[in-house]
Amino acid sequence: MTAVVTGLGVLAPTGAGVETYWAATLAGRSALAPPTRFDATGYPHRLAGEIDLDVAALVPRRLLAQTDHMTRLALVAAEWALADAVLEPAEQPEYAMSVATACSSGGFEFGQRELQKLWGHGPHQVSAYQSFAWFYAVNTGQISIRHGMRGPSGVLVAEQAGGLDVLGQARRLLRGPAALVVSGAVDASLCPWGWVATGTSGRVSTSDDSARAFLPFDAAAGGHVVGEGGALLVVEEAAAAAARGVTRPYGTVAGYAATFDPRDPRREPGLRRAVVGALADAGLEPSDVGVVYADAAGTPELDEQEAAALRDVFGANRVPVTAPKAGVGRLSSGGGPLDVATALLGLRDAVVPPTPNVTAPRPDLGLDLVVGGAREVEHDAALVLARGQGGFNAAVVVTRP
Amino acid sequence: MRSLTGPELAALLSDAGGPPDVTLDPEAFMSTPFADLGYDSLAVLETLTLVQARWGVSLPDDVVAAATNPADLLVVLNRELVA
Repeated sequence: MTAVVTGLGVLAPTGAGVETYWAATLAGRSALAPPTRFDATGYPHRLAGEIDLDVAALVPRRLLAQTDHMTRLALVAAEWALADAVLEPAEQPEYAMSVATACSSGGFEFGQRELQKLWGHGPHQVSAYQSFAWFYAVNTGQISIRHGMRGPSGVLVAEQAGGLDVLGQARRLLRGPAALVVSGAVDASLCPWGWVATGTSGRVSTSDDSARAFLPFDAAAGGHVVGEGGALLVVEEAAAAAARGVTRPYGTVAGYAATFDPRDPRREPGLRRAVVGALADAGLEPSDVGVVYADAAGTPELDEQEAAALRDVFGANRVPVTAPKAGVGRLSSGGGPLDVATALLGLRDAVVPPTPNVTAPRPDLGLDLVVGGAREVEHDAALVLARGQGGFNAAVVVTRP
Repeated sequence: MRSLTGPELAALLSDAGGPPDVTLDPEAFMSTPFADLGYDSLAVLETLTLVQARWGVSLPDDVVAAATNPADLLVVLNRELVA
C-alpha cells in the first residue's frame, strides 16, 4: 500500500492558502506579533503567531453558532485541501472516506465564553453546542459531517507529535477500508484560557522582540512563541488516486514512527529511535534524506537533545536542517502537518526554505541549519520531526512521487 | 412576562442554527417541520438557551422535546413564558 498526498489546505500566520504560505516561507518571512483577538499585555508572554483571515466569512452561516474559531479554520483548510485534490466527496463512496485529525486543546475560545456564562449567569444560558464545540474530536466530526465522509474516523491527542501521528493513522486506515483520508491538524487557542494553559509549560518566550522571541538552535534561544493554524492533507491510496485521474501527487508518506520518552532523565530521549524507525519504515538510509524539518523547541536543552539525535543518525553537519516554524510559532498539533506540507512543496520545487530570525546558530550543535535565505537542494526525501509535551515523539518521511 | 412572537422565534432559530434551508412566507415557515427547515434537535435546544438568556428565565430542557415545527415551539415557549 502506498499513501500519496494529493491535496493540501494550509492556514498559517504567514499565509492562508498553499502558494501564499509557500512564497512567504521561501522568503523567510516572520509573522510573530502581539495577538489582536485579545489583549495579552498583562501576561508573561505577549507575542503570538496569529492568522490574518476573516475565517467566519468563509464558513456556512449554519455552522457559526456551533463552531469555535479553531473548527472554522479546520473547515476552511479541509475545503481547500479537497479543492486542491480536485476531489468531489459527493462522487466518492461515503464509507471509503475517513477523517483523522489531531488536536491539542480543543475549542478553547468557545469553551471559555460558555464557562464564563456558566459562572456569570448559570447553566441555562450555556450554549447547547458547548456539548461538542470545545471537544478534541470536533474538527474531525464537523469535516466528516460537512463532506459526508462516513469511513472510520477519529482524533489523536499528543500535542505537537499528534499532528504527525495522524499521518501514520491515515496509512493504517488506507490499509483497511478507506480509499482516502483527510488528515493533519489545525490548532488554535489564542484566547486568555488557552494562553494561560500553554504558558504553564515554562517553555514560552517572555521576549517582546518579535525578531528574537523564538530562535531555535540559536545561541540566544529562550523559548518559543505560540501560534495558530496548521495544514490538512488529502491522503489517498496511490492506485485509487490514479484511478480517479490524479497524475501528479505531491508525494508519498513513505515512513512513520512514534516513540515515547523514558521517565528516567538519565536514559536517552526517544527522538533518535523515532528517526531510525521512520527511516526503516520508509526503507531508506540516512544518506537518502535531503533535508530535516526539525521540531525546533527553541530551548537550549531541548535543542541539544534534538541535535544529538540528528548527529547520531546523520553525522555532524551532514544534512540540511531547517525550522520554518520560527516564523509562525509552534502551532501545537498543527505544526507537524504544516511542516509536512512545507516538505512536500520543497520536494516539488527542489528547495529548502530558511529558518526565519535565527542569525547565530550554535556551532556546537553540529547542525547545518539553513538560515539567511532558501537553499536550492535537489532531494528525493524529507524527514519531519515533532515532539509533543509529555514525552511524545513522532517522525515522518515524505518522498517525491 | 412578555410573550414571544412568530417573527422573533424565526430570528432566534436563525441565530441558533443559521438561516433556514428553504425560503418560505412566514405562515408556511411556522408549520414546516424543523427537519425540512434544516434545524436539528440541538438547534432547537440552542433556541431555548437563547430565549432563556434574552428573557432572563430558566426553563426545563424537556419543554421543547415534543415540538416538531416552529408553531409548536412557539406554543410551548409561550405557555412557559406567561405561566
